Amino acid sequence: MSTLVLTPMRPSLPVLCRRRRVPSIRLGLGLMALPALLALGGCGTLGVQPWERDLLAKPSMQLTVSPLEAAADDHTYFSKEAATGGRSFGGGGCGCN
Amino acid sequence: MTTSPLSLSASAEPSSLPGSTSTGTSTGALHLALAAAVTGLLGVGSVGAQAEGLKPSAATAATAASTAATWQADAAVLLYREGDGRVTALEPVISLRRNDGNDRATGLRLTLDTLTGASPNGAVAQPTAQTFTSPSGKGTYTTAAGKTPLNTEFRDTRIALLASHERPLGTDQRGSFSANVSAEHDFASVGLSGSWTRDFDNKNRTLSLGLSTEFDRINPEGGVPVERGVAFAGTSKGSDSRYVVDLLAGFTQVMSRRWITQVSYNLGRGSGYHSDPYKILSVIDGSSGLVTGDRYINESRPRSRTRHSLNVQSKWHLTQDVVDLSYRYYRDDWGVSAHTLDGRYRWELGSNGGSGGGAYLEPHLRWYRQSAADFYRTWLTEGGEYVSGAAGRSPAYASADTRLAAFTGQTLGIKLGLPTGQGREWTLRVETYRQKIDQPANAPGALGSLDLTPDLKAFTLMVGYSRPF
Repeated sequence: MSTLVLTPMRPSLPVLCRRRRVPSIRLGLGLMALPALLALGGCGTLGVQPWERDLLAKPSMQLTVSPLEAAADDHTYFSKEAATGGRSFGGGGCGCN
Repeated sequence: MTTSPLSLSASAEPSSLPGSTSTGTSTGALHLALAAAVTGLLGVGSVGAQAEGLKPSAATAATAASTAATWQADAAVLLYREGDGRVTALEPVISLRRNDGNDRATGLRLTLDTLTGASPNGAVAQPTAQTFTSPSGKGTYTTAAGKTPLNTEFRDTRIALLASHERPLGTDQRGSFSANVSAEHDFASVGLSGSWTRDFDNKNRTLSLGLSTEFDRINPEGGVPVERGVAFAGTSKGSDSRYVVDLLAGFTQVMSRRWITQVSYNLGRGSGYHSDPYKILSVIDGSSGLVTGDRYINESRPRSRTRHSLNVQSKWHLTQDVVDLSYRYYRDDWGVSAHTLDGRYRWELGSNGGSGGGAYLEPHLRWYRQSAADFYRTWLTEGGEYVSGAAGRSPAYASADTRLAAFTGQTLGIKLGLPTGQGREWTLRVETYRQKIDQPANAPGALGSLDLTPDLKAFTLMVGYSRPF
């Protein structure tokens, strides 16, 4: 399993809240590769056998159970908050922000 | 979409679009009746229409390929209402999705969006009444003393159409493609997106990659105001545009029989017109706090924006109930950073183990905190950052839009799910949302005794119905 070690410059929780130089697009593109590395170098000890998927197979275990609700939430928060994105492409397409 | 020998059906999701706009739910009996009538005409089957972006196979319990095409209809109505006479939104949506029996799914979603009410125009409250010209230039509206100025001409109707298609692309791979159009009287948007997912390790790990583009045309009432120009004093042009590209990468891991987790990262870049054509800023005297000089100017935002979002979500199945927790970190080059925590607990009222056959209650908590954009100002001070007149000066960028202010948002809600057999389900969701905006420090003179950034309070009611046919 690939191991990612993050060493904060100041090991305190509020470090995320401090103003720092915004990551560049280049860094962002680098971050795009992280999921690929995780997928390719994942840990073989995690996961289940196909016959152990009884609970994961339930509709309530889908990461997005109700797409219409998720879209409504994306739209509402997109129009009321500065942050958007993170999990899907939802949020844009309106003149509300 | 995962294929599992034990799995029941679960829908594959097409990528949503930049324009994946809302879908709503509320007490729209007429819409729901209509939706039910439409679905009743169309046939037989099931597959849920999805609006989320990248759905990993590891997260999905999928049907093995069948032979008959199946259909799924989802309809919902959302009523969103803010306090103090502000915005009310009514949004009916209907979504149809067809699975051809060979794991290829096509979906169509129609959303209507009706907005009425009043919206803050960006000016700061004053100890005396203030009168403003309407965006259309055809009239005026007056704000009472001590009140935050609200543009009472705020109303809009939007129609949005989303089409999506998803299909296997060989062993353990899927592709999805979607397109959307959205139109309002002063705004139009067209978007395209595509995503690719690949399963690894016997579908215990999934990688998702997506690309999304959006083109927006902004045609404000009365034209595009001159940025940083004196408000209500003419426009620069009739319309402007914006182009947005989003990249999305997601990784999903089955951790155990009960636990699945997903990490996703979103990089977005927007170029073009980002200002709000209806937002202004007050120019005030640094001692008295009263508007002075040019009085009001049009806001100005950078013509580009780069966003980064990192989202982590985990779901745990507790044999019956389900816990869903997520955290998102957001940062952009406007100086905004934000944290979002979201938690849901699905409490199965029956004893079916969450198989979708029983009623459930789902409390929901969400906490959000953002910092202010670098150029957010509650006002501009005459003689400071701003000097009135032809030989004056002004900051390159300035906006009093409280959506760019530092604030905390809290959502509290509960949802009731009522399956009625044969894959049909009603849902009712009620939520409250409150924004507590940080008060500006050192308000001068008369402003010191006024509530310059009143809290936003909103109530949401959503009713949904879904059925296969």
